[in-house]
Amino acid sequence: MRSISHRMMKMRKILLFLVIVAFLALVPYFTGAYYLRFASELLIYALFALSLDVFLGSLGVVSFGHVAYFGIGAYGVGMGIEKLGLILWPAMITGVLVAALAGFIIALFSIRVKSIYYAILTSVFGFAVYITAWTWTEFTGGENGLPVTPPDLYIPGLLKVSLFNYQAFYYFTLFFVIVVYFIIKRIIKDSPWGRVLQAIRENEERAKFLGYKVEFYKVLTITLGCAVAGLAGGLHAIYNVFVPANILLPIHSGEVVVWSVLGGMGTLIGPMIGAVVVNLAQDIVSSWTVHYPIFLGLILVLVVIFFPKGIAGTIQDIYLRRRSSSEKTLD
Amino acid sequence: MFEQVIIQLFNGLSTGSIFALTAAGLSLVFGVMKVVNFAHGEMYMLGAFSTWIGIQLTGNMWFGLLLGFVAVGIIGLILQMLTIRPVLGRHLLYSLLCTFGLSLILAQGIQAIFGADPKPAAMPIDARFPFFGFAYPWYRIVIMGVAALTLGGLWLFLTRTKYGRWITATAQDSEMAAALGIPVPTTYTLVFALGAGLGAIAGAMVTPLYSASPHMGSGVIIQSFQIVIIGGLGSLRGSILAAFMIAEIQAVGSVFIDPTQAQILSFIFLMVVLLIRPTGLLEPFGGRA
Repeated sequence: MRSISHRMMKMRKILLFLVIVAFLALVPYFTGAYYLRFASELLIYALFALSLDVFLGSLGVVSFGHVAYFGIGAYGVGMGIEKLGLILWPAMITGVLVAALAGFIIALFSIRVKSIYYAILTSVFGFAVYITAWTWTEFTGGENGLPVTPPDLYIPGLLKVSLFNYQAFYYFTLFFVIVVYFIIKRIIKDSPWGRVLQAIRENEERAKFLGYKVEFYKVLTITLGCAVAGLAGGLHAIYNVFVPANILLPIHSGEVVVWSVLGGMGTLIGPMIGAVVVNLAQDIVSSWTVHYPIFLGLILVLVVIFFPKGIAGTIQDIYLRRRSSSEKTLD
Repeated sequence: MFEQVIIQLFNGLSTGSIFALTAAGLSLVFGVMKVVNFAHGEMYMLGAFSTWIGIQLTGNMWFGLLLGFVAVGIIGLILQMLTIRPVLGRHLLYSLLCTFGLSLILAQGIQAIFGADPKPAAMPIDARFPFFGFAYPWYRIVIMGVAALTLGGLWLFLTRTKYGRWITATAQDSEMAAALGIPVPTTYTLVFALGAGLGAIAGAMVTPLYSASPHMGSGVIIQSFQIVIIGGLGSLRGSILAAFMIAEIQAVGSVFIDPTQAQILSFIFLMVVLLIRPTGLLEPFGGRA
């Protein structure tokens, strides 16, 4: 009885997933150029939100400087194309690796402190990266930014298309969002690595005494999150054909935290939903006021006080409650 | 070069005084109620705006400073009761997120009301005195004096008065304090208001130097975070010590390199401290939790 309902649940999940992917794949057919570009941007932000949740959910630490890795990834890709003359894939890999390396170095320092210190320490590091990009003008272009020529997406024998093409870029981004989501989900929820993370989250001391190298797993997980943020940043550099130093403004680190909290921290899918919801709402709100940070702050305060589990967490709760009550009636 | 270094050492003392006042407020709130007030920079900003308003009304900056301390204290009191109190029993992260939301609302709210352009104010004391071939403003000395008086007053308040002892006792052991009849929730509200007031005094003092602008708090909060991590989060003496260290590094550093890059120098100092003492230089206020 239970196994059947379990399998049905899995079937329903797969079905739901297929519907979502089909919907996302069809987006270019019912939107104009403006909204197609906007949809690509939303996908990038969803990926960025996912990258924060990699360690927010699994380690319970929140980074207030996460945009640093998004920005470093953007500069990595931009510079790979412009300064090193790389084609698409090597440039993307450069961006991801540079962001991962920066994340790795900063993680070595920041895991030395406990959760709440981690939040404020990362905000300081995020600001340091911003200042560095701002002053290191010969490298980043500083205030003037770094223009990026969108490279061609070239798969031998299959296709060759410029990513300046909105539709091509949309599918290119969608591909990454889906693939990375599944890789992360697999690692965090269902792998030996993920189980160690769960042990750390539940009782760090015990995990340590059981012989797990807690520090190693923490650094590895944070580095993974930063690599994904770098990927999102790299996509944004191509999308935006330009990397401004403003991309590193501390407020953006706050924004991704707001998306995650609203969507539901630690659920992976929640922060992605949060990113889409907040940015859609922001698009509407900013059409009638320039003061949308007030709206962002209000969301955060209200969600934290009244719905600390966010959209995905609250839905999960309702679903579980309904299921447990229906099981009770069956008994 | 030598004269420049001496002048910058003095400038470091006055900016260090401002840093110390700001960081002390942040550290006090964390030490007692284990809340990292992300909106502390906005308390500083509100202090600056209150001072500017006070000057517009009376032409007297000291009235503005008093207005800032009282008004921002009351604002802190209300914000604590409305938004921090409901999340106090939960994970530390929630109060941090809540205050971050407040900082967004306050900074943008002030911009919506007063506009984005900075609001300048004249120095209450224009006089200068000759100092190593430079006419050094008395006002910078006044800043040091005000900071010393305020921090000295804070110390007296915490150690010599009934409410101060409530605060110290709550910081040491909130359960024991509650058992002894200290109204812990009221103490929390009082501490939050006091911390906000300290931030406001710092904001008031810099108004003649940097003007009041809606987003001035965002840089200050990062600076304060850096200071409280170095000094030991929750340690008042540690914060004050670290405030002067950071201020001197940045001040003397800017003689030799670009001021913005001197800021990067202070980040490197932070990393060195983290390597040697990850929990900061000194013990938290009321003992380590």
